Amino acid sequence: MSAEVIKASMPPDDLSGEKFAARVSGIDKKFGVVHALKGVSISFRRGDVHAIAGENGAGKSTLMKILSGVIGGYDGYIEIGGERCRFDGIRDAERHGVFLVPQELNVVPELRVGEYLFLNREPRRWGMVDTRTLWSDAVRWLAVFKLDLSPLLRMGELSTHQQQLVSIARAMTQGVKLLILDEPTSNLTERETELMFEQISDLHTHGVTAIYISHRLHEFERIANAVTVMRDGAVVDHFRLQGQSDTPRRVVQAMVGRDLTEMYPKLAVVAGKSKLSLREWTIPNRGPGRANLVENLNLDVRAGEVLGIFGLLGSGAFDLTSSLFGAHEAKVRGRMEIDGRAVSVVSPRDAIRSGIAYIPAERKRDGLIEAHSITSNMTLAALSRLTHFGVLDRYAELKRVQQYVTSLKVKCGSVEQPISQLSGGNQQKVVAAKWLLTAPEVFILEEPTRGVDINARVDFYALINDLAAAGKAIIIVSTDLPEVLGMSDRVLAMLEGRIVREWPRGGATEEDVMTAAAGGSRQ
Amino acid sequence: MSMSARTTLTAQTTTNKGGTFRNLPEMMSHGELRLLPLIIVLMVVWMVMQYLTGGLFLSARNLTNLSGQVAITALLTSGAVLIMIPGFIDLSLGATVAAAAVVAAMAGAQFELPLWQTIVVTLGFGLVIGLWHAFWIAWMKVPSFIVTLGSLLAIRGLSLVITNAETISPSPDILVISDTSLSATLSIAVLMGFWLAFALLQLREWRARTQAGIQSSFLSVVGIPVTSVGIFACGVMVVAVSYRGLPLPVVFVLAVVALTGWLLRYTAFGRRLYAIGGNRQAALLAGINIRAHVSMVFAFMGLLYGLAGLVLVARLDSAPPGAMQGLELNVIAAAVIGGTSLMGGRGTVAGAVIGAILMESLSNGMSLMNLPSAYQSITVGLVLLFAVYADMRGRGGRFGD
Amino acid sequence: MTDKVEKSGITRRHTLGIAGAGLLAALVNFKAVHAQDKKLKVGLIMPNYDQLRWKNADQAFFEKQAAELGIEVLAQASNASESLQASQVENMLTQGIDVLVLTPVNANAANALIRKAKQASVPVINYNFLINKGDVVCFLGRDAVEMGEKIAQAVVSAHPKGNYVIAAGEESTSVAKETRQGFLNVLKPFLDKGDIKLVSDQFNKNWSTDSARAQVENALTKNNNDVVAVLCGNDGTAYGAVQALQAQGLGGKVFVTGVDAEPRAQELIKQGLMALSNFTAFDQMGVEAAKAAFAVGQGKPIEASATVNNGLKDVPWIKILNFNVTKDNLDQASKDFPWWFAKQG
Repeated sequence: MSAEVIKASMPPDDLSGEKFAARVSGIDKKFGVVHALKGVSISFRRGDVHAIAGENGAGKSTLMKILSGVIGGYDGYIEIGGERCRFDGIRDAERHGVFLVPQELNVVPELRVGEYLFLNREPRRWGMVDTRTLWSDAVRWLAVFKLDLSPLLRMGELSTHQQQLVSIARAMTQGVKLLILDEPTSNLTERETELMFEQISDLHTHGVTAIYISHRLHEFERIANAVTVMRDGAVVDHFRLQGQSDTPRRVVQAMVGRDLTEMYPKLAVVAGKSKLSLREWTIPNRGPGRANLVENLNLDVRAGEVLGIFGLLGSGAFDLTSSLFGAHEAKVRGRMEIDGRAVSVVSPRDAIRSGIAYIPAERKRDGLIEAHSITSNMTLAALSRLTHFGVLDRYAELKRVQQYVTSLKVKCGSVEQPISQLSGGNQQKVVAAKWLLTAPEVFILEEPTRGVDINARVDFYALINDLAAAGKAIIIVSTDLPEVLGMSDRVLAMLEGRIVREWPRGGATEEDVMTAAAGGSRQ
Repeated sequence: MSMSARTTLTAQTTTNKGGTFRNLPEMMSHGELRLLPLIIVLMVVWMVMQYLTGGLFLSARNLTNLSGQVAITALLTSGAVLIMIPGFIDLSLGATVAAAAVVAAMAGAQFELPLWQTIVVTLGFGLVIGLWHAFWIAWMKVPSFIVTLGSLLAIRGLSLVITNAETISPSPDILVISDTSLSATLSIAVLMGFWLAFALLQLREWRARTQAGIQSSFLSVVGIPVTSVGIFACGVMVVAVSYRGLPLPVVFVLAVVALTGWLLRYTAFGRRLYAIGGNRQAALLAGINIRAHVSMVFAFMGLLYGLAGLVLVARLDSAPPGAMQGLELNVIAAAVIGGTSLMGGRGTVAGAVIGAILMESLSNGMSLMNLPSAYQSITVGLVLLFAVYADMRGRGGRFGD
Repeated sequence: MTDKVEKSGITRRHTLGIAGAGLLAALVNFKAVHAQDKKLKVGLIMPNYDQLRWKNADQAFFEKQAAELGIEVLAQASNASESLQASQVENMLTQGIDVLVLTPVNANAANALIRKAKQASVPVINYNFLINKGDVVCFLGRDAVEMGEKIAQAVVSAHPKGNYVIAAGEESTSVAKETRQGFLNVLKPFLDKGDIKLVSDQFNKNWSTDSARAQVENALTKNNNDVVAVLCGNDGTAYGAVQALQAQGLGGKVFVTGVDAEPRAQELIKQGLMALSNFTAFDQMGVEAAKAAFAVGQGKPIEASATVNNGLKDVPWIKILNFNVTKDNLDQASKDFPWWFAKQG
């Protein structure tokens, strides 16, 4: 469906102005030649939890930045409570009641909770900060929001979740009317997510309208009243949730124009001989007397097989993956065989030489050099294949890079562009290409689609299929349970350094795996 | 040479649909012609100096003097760039170069070694110190700041002890190093060869790009850089031919600059150095042998201590154990002015050498205007401050935001 | 915020250019060197501006005399750096000086500089520190041996018997060595007889106050404070000696001598903590140097009362007057040399 048609078929929300906490109309923004927002109009009903979905690059982050006062220079107008505004910075937006709770709080860690709550609005007496009132008010507000925290705690000591809650509380103390939540649950545990949903549901009783941005489409049904879907800078779908059950499907369809069933396009591959085998694999813990991070693990992955591993914090899953690449700091014990040959992997160089590839979970920290170009990043692990006696063969290098950019559909302007300018999904594709260039036999993927938009995700899964079909062994460790279940031939649950259960494809539900990983059992 | 060393790493070439001159400002900020503004600044400084000194500054004689005055800094700053790009630093330069000069003087005067042996011994001495640094920094993982600072103090002390604080005169045959100049024909041959090599390499890069299907502007990859280097080479030729020919120290500088520039830009070794400085963890996980690379750049730097020591002892015709105080700061400043970041990940040899020439031109010009040396220090200090500040602003403007 | 970022790529170079241009614009006010005058051009190089005398005495009077003679002076100080001095010599030669008056930072490292001057056919006048084997046209300096003898005479007159300490100056300079030689010349007969014992005799690196202090402290300790005289290479070392003595309560009780009669030394003499300091008429040295430069520039012979052999040849030596300054003649000296002695307080 084209954007215009969808917009025309929007239900008539344009009732009298008071029903709306906020409205954006005809917002148009360009960054140089990039047309980020193309005449976007959305109305936010008072008290709603209004979800906004869209890939990275769809424009929702730009729209939120405009709404929250971070950037300006746009055409069109914003209305808050019927009053037209143009914000002159974040504080101005906050003064009008628009608050943004970002994914990662950017606050001085030494600041105490109470001080943060009243930042720039501290109660004053005779020109000086009235600390008694500050702390007592802080205690009061924290109680109102049912936050079991001492206002004396420093922000740096809180968990991400707690920081978010405090941030919301702060917005409330300062009279928020429109609260923008940016991926609030992406870094939370299940339980914390539940608590967050409670908080968000509570918001409307305080007369607050929430904008909820998330990739987790299945959450929408639980929490949202309305959904707007954006694609390529424009609104492509908008509907109110009235108890339908196929919301994710409708959203995805709007986002990419394709069906959800294609989401995990796993192809069945006949697995071959054992590609990677581990025996008595043990990773000791730091400090005496502490249990090993990975305990006497035995593992086999066959050629063409995709093995999925799921574990909660401390399960040892990520220790396992980094140790397979020789990137773990501890002295790992055990035997590894690749294609039947014993190999010793003590450093990443050994691993690469043995044919192992590793895509780490922390892309920016471990996987990329942000300041460098796409070319430079992509060829980094395979430089020796692109040189003659140490001198770079630029033609060969550029040609290969172009080939991968085309085959993996990396969206970029030029291969000499700084990689930091690419979206998360495209960056991850470059990382993948980096490893493809080394022609490995075993792929270890940590959180392969974290921060990757829908379209790119599908491309990734297709890539995994291709690799399996080519007879490689693939290990996926991810906290995205649907992904693990959707893409693996076998699924393992790990707990405290051991494999506690194993299922073949289709043999487990999300609850099964989660329970096993959490240490319970389920009949 | 490495004028466009950053193409691969952070170039932001826009697709050119004709009108290449419109893209010039963009190319100058990030792309191929990143060094052009710095060169323009140098030209402006030279013009102003020429005017203020009543025509003395750009005389062949003065330019030849200038080249001798800047030679040691230029040699060392080339090596310093190799060290700073992967994120390390060398603070020991003043002491090590002076010590190398002492060794050269003692070898010739006290041990009466023939010249070639003196040279070998001096280079060997520098290499040993370089390996010492490599050991502590690459293998024992002690921060380079500490290790080289320690050397700065210890080696200075060692020099004073060995010489008993006396200044030794070298054997007279060492003067060959400072007094020899290439004949006019040889000078022209060397400079032309230098320029030709550069032109060919740039041409090769442009061809590789177009053949790989990447939009690439001939003007920015070949045209402007090759022309600029050509003008520079011609200028040097004119000066050399009209005065005494290309002095040997300048030939050393050209050789070292060519070698290090080529290493950084055209080899996998150089690419890996940039990676180590850009993100050490990512470089490690890409299988780069960080230890080996770091060892090699510090060892190479050691050779440069020796070479610089030889140039020094020939220039002063003596080896004062207390010489070259503060050299390390000049060398680092030159690199930073030329675009090398103190935090690693970026930089070029050409930029550093231009930075060194810029600083020395200011000193030389002000000396020709007979201003006291204190003013020279103030000026150079201010220029350094501006350069670093502007560098920080230019890198996204969010530093410390 | 985002909008600003896009433009700042140029900022770095812009700022460099502006800074460079701005600084140079400011400098336009300074006089430029023009090479078309027929005036005699003389380059004067001082070793540093750290010690009081170089700028305030030697250079000041040189320039005054030069002005009277119609000489154009280019003056620089080398900040105790040999390589800076080398660059300065080169640059002065480029500016077309006719004569070079050189005070070497390092007397053993100055021959390269003389060679450069010779290549440019510029004669060199050696100032204050004798350059080993230097091919120079003349040398200006005090007769350090004679000065040492003068000082020692004064001391032995006051203390013909007892323990002596010699705290000499920087060993690599001829001045330090010769001063000490002068001391020893006078002391020799007394030492032979055994009336005077030399309990400590050392050179002090860089004429360092701290080094001299340590030396005297050690001497006092070793000899149970039984010391009657401390002969120092210059005032700087003398200050160290005085500090050591005061720490032992011996202030004013021991005969301390210095050289140069700096204002601080004058204070100490007035207070009785120093007995004397030898003063060389630096102003005279500067004046004589200017006159000599003029003569050399004109091709006329130099009037020198003596010659000194510097290892290469016998060089005409213009000796400079020196005398001991004590409490008694301090006032007179103030009248005779107001520019130096009037700097009280």
